[in-house]
Amino acid sequence: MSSEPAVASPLPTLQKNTPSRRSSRRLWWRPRIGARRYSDFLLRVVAMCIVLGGWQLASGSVSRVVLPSPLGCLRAADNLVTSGELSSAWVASLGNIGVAVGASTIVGLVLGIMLGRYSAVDSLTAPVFASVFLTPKIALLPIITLWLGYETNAKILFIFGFTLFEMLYTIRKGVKEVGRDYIEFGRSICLSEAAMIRKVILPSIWPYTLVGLRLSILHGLVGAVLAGFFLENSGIGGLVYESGSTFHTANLFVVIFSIMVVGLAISYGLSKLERQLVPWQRLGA
Amino acid sequence: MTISHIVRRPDRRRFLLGCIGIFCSLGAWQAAGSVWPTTISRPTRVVRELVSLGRSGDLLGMLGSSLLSLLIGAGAAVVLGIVIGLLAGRYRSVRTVLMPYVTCIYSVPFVAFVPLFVVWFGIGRTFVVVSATVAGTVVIIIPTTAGVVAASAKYGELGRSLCIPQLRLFWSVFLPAAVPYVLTGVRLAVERCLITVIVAEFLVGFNGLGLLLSDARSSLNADEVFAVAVATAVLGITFTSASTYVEHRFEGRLG
Repeated sequence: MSSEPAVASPLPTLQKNTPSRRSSRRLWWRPRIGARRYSDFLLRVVAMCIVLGGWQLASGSVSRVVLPSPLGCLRAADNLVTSGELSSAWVASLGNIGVAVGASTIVGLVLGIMLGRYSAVDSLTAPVFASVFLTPKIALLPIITLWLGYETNAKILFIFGFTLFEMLYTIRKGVKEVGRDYIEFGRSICLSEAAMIRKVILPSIWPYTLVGLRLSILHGLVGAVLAGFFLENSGIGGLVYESGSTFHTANLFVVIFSIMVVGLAISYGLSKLERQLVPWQRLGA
Repeated sequence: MTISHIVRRPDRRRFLLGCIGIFCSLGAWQAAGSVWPTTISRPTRVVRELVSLGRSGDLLGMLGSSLLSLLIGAGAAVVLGIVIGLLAGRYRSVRTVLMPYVTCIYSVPFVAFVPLFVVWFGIGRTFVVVSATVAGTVVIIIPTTAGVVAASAKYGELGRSLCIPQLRLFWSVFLPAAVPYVLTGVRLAVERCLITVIVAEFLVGFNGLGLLLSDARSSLNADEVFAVAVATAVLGITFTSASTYVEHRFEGRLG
């Protein structure tokens, strides 16, 4: 992880003028040594105080339903956490997302390798897949209701619609970008197709699988929220929906905040994991 | 991942195979539909349903309503996003203060905010438009800021030494330099706005595609369900391809 050389360089290093990738990606709340970073940190703290203060003041003059006070939100958070409502909703939703992501990893790997490896299959199916991919996934909702009703299975299928394509397209891209040299070499030593996939392609697309995993979990979160709105009102989306429709705005703030935290944790955590596991590859997306 | 990996310049063989693929899947759908007509409908009946929805004026009216919300919302998002992005890109302090919040909102599934907007803005068009605007603005701010940061590193000093007034610098240097970035933002924003508009309409039953989806969900009539899904798909595909096309067009020109 540490990119600093172990032996101190004899030359004085210009801390400020060496743009390091790491410093720009550092979490925003961690103060850095160095005047500029420190003033940034102070600025952020001051701004946050102003936002919180303004919020507290504004909440005094309007109804609790429109804008609950920060303290009210804390109280609501305490209630939701101690009653276990928040955690059980998250457990249900994350379970659904887990099943959907697991299924889309398997399907995505199989289909992605097929599409990436055989260009005829790819050309044949590209328009069909692309049109489903570009459809706002919410359009699948009535279809899924028609097939499976409103229960857990319907939710999982709906979330699967969000997760599959992220996985599929990332893996397909990975398979297409496997080095020509490796393929040629594999062919020249007469690797069978199965061996080629197992020994050449699978190891090379491993970083892409990780990226696909991150993207599909994040999209699965969107699916889980929407599933809670429009299918059975359970899980984290259901909690948002119910807090909103019963005008418990403080609860609504808390639940949205928890979604924010989970979203950030997943995206930072998994991209950190990607950097740890495949440090040689910098993948965008 | 970008759309450009999926929608690419057609070559002849790909195009032909693609057409065959579409026809085969439509054929398969038709065949399967005659076995289970109440579960998966079939293309011919979907077309008939679409025509009858179109005749009764439902489809066009709803589509128009959704488009209106989408255009107002996305337009406002573009203006707001560019203004905020220019300021954040140019002034470090603005960036420092603003970016954590933008990142936070960006990383949440935006649909989670929609019930909050119901509480604040009611269930009318204001609510739909505001939801779409906020959804789009956040997506435009991020790339625009990146573009302006790059441009001001390149031209900021030059502008200052030539004593170009600040406003002029924004208008004739930073804005043009940031256009390719803004367009990336716009493409993402259009998708997000469209989804937000549909979800918002669906949630409160406001006139639009969302309401059609909501009706179809409760009717459980296979033909209607699939017809509405196809209409939504067509709208989604049209908008995403159009914005991708515009983005690529300008990317080529401004490089």
